[in-house]
Amino acid sequence: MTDLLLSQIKLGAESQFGTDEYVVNLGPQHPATHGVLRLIVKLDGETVKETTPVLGYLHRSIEKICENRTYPQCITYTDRVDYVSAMSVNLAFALATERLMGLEAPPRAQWLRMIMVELQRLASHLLWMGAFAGDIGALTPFLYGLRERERIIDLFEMTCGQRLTYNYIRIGGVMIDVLPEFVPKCRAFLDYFEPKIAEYEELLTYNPIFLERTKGVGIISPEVGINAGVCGPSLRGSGVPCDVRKQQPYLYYDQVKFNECLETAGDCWSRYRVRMREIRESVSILRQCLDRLEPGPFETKLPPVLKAPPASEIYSRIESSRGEMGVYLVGDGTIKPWKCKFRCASFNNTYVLDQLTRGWKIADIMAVLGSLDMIVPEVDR
Amino acid sequence: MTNEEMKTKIESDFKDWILSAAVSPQKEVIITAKPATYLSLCRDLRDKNEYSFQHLSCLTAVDYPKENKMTVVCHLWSYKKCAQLTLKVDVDRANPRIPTVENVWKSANWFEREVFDLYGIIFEGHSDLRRIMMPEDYTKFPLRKDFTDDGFIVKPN
Repeated sequence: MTDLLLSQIKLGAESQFGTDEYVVNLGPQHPATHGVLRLIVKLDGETVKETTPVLGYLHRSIEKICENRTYPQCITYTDRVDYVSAMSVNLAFALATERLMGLEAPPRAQWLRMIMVELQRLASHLLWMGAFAGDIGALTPFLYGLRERERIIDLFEMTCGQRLTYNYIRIGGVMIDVLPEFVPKCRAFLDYFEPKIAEYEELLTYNPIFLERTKGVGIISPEVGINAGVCGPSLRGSGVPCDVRKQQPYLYYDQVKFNECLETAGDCWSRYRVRMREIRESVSILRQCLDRLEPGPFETKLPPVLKAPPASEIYSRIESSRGEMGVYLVGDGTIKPWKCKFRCASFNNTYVLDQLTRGWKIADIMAVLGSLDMIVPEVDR
Repeated sequence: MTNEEMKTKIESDFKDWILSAAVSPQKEVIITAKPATYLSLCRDLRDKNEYSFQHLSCLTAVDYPKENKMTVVCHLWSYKKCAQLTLKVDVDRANPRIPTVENVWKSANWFEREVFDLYGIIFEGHSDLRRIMMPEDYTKFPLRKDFTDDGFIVKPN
């Protein structure tokens, strides 16, 4: 009887039960899409044929708003471009404006900016690690990551009073000098934090389930990655040296020693390894910055009204936590930017999602999406 | 290669293809392409070994209603030479059309969709020219300077 049934099923699969394409809608409200991103996935069985991201659910037209605000007012909006890494966007805009107007912040402000941005990179990578592991089923790293991130946020709160949107890095310097106890507290945090990295790696790196889900999945080749505009840790996972801190140094990154973290395989696991190694590098950069922080003014004297020169323009890039972050400003001689464009890493990294997921299973979409470290407010702006 | 050297080199290599080349006071090399040769210029800048601008860092547009033009601005980056280049091309404001560079840099696909969505510039030959940020039934182009809408209030100076 069973044999008969089996043979019938087998026969049926060959003759009448052919597979058919069907379409699944993921999001816009889905816990694994890190915000309101909608994916339309075309499937054959469990195999992905095509992934179409639908953007715009979080479009707040920050660029249009910035065109109607003065330069210092815009800084507040830049926080909202990428709220997981707000300091980086603050810095990108402040640096672009300074280069446009020919201003320079004093050394103490530059070192403070570097400290804040590297701390922010730690916080962002920790949140990413937790969310990425959570996406593919390991919930514990999320708790571990947030535990240490909380301490970094406490340092920020102590400095500028905010926990998410800091508005701390301003044109010509920083908002306010750090408290005297900031430096010892930051050092204490680094001493506490460094052994914890080994703890995360113990949990994840060679975990067989984690390896099974990430190794060899979603491979970007260097040529495809460069051509599709992938940047930051996601491209360094494919072995392309693309760190803006090395290629076009800003602040004092040419004065500190750090390695550019490269992996060659280009799969989800390599991207994970790059970010974990970057955490260690950031700790080393932070120690060097704290050593070299000297007393002095924390902001430069600005003219009473900030005006850009007429018909001037600047495209200034930094390495934010997610990759290359560019700000394009066009000045027209008034107090408002004529044009303000944010070039965000997540936008390009989301574009490549379709190519990466084709031919993989539907569950791999989550692994790939997590490994690209995209943040929806940055995609939509 | 310094900025000045790159400017002179581009001027001599692509004499007939560009309208102007300059180094801005902010020390950036800015070239303006002729619309007819824009696509071949992009391809050469990417493929020629002495430039190898393989990375399209950013593509956007700027609206100049007074001069009755819109400018498409590409920011290129060369990983090999560690050099940055700004490439501009002007389009007519009444009939904004320009060939797509999607086949040169894949990343232009979404950048151009965004420019089409917010400025209304039509990229000829683009594989998927749809709105990307705004709703599909939206009819206006929000980043144009003459944009008006009920909910949009320009703050007085």
